[in-house]
Amino acid sequence: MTDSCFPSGFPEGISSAVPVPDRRSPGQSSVGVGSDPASLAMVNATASGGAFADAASAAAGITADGIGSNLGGSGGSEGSGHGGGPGSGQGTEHGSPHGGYNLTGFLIFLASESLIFAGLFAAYIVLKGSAPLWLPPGVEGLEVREPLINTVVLVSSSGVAWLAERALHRRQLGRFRLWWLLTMAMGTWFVVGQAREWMGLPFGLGDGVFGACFYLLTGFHGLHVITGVLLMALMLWRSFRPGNYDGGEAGVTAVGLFWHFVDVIWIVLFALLYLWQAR
Amino acid sequence: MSTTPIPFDPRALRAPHPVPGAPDNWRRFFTFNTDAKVIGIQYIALALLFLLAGGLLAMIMRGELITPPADLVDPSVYNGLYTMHGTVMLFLFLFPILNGFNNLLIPPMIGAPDMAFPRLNALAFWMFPVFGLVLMASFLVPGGPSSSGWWAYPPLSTQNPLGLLVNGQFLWILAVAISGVSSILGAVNFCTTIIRMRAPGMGWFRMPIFCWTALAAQTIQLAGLPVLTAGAVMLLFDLSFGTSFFRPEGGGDPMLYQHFFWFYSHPAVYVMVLPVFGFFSEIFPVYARKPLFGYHVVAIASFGIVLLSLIVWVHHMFTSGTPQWMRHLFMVTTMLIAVPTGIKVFAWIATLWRGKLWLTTAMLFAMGGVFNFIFAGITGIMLATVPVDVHVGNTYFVVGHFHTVIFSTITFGVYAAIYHWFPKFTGRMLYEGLGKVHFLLTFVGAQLNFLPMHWAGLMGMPRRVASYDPEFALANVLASLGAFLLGVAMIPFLLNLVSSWARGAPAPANPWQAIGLEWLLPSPPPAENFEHDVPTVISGPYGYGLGHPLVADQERYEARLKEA
Repeated sequence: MTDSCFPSGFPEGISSAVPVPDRRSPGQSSVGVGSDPASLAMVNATASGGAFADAASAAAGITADGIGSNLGGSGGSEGSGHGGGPGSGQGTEHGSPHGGYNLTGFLIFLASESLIFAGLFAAYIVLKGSAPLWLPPGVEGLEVREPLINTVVLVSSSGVAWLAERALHRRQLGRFRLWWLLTMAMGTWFVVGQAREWMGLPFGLGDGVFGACFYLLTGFHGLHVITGVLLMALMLWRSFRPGNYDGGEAGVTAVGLFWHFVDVIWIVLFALLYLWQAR
Repeated sequence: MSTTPIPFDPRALRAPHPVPGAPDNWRRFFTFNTDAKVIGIQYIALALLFLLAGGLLAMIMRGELITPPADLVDPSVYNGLYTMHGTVMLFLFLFPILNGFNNLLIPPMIGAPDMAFPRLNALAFWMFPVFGLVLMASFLVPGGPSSSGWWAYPPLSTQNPLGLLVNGQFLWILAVAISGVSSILGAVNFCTTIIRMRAPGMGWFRMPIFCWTALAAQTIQLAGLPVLTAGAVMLLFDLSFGTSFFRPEGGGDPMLYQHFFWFYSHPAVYVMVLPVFGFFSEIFPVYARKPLFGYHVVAIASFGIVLLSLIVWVHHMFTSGTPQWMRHLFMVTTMLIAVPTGIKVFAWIATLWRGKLWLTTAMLFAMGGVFNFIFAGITGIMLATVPVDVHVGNTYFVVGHFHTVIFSTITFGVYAAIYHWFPKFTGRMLYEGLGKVHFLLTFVGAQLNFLPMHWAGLMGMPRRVASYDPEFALANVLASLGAFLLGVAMIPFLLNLVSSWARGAPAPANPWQAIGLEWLLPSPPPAENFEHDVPTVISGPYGYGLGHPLVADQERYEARLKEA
């Protein structure tokens, strides 16, 4: 970065003139311009436009970089890329405590996400109450035993995830990974069990309103479980990076929240689909 | 952060051309840029392009309707035209352009350097060209675009006569779904930014009204869009994968879709109109040189509208076989919405009252918008009344009503905002003369276009028809002439935007002598707004004529602007 683009040559010169104490925290090795999205974009624009020494862009790079490096050390660098999508900040965006923003954003996202399920639940209840053809012909109801075991596994995995978070909070990294891995295993068990159930059912997506509701609801929830397991894998991988938790544990907290959310949704779903079979 | 004097200010190195804004480095508008001000202009420019596309569709329709028989286009083509016109105007013009203003205005207004999640922001923007292209591509697929109206009611929308997986309706649902994801990501970003990143001293009741209304509108997005998404997914399954959620022949319930659709799509009107209420509340105090009347009440009324908007949707379904008790209930809740909106209108008029009005183009558009909104509010109350709605539902009266809201109020507000903030974010003044020509043509065109629609509707002309009885001819001729006038009005507008940005007079930091954090920044503002020197807010907004400063140490910020 430093030798490839013109503006980043400047900040050193400037910062020697400006008494800015403690420019970067030790854990943050990203150099100069790269740490700041605005200046990075400027550099991209400069490079792609071919106007290499364009005075305006260079000045912007310096300005933004001066600020970025000035504040860069104070923020939490554990941003994690799941605050509602892959774009949310990893690392210091503006030297602000982004872990806090990420959690706020993630909670807002979860609240919104829960309403998709609320909508689907409402549809299920309304259709169950009104549809003239509900169960597909020849189908009496759903088998409850195996799904119940799956449910117990999934719901107790929330407790295991909590143990993992507690271990991390106490800085017991080994235990955190162990519990975290166990949570992932339990989630995977649930998904596999769900897939086995799907394959054994005598009806398909197009069979009656119930068939459509069943596959849509369990499938949409299953996607969330898979997403949760993948996010946990990402967090596990990140836990091996040195100094990953220096800036806080917002990423793990958010994934933990997501996991509890997925479990709560399943409890409602289990009650609707399996326990409330009478019409 | 303490403000220790730094002997060297890197800003002094700024080149003669200010960095953001001036078209010298226009290439950044075509990159994955994470700067909210770049993203804002990206949104607005692309949305204006789609305004032209949607307007073209409208003018083809009005060309068809200028004579009673269906002679210009085939009736089935006409079905596709009105479907796409509505969809383009809502999902590709108004939502994106208002998101553009959210991007431009929220960070500077609250003193934040950028949005809370800049990369998420850029991602949300770049979905916009994607779903725009998906929707436009539906013109090219066999069978043409979706023709089931922008409501996409089943069973019409679950028909797939050609049996192709990729058909117009499929692409329509796909585009709406991607637009929904983009809007949810945007809403998470805007809410987090407003909640967490306000300048020191800016408590809730020192926030500009635009931030209040943006937060309120984005709350609706977060509450309503997921429900629409659920409905859209079920519709997609019915259309493409043979399920029967909404298909009566398979035991499904088509009414359920209407509930899903309107649970979001009625509040969606408030998603669009609330930020425009914010524009009005920002613009009137500036050009009337008076504080906003009843600031606290106007702020809280925004959330009154949010709460009520979530319990009014059935008024779109009064003639869909809705039970009587539901009609009564939703008639009452719908009429209650007039209370918070009426409070706002009252506050604006009281702000203007005995003010020394400065009739800039922005002010003209804002006043015109409120004028039209009062008319639309009255017809809205008429439509909320079940006995009236049963008679005029699905007639041109409804079309006239919601065009008066969506064009004559919301789009007027958007124009007002463009004229008001253009100098701030481009660093160039717009030509007032062209602006006033634009206003005059738009105002006259809007009245000519939409007033006769009410008349035709009261006479009984149904909406969504390519041919009609000759007794409605006069109203339709007038409406068509108005539509063409609105098309002509785009010429001075676009000419003004392009030529002003290229070679307009350089804008001072505060051309309107306005009060607000964004006016304490240079025009255009630097990439990170106040950077580390965020002012401390010490009083509420709109202190016109009160003589007290907005921020601590205001002289220093103003002096810095004079230097630059």
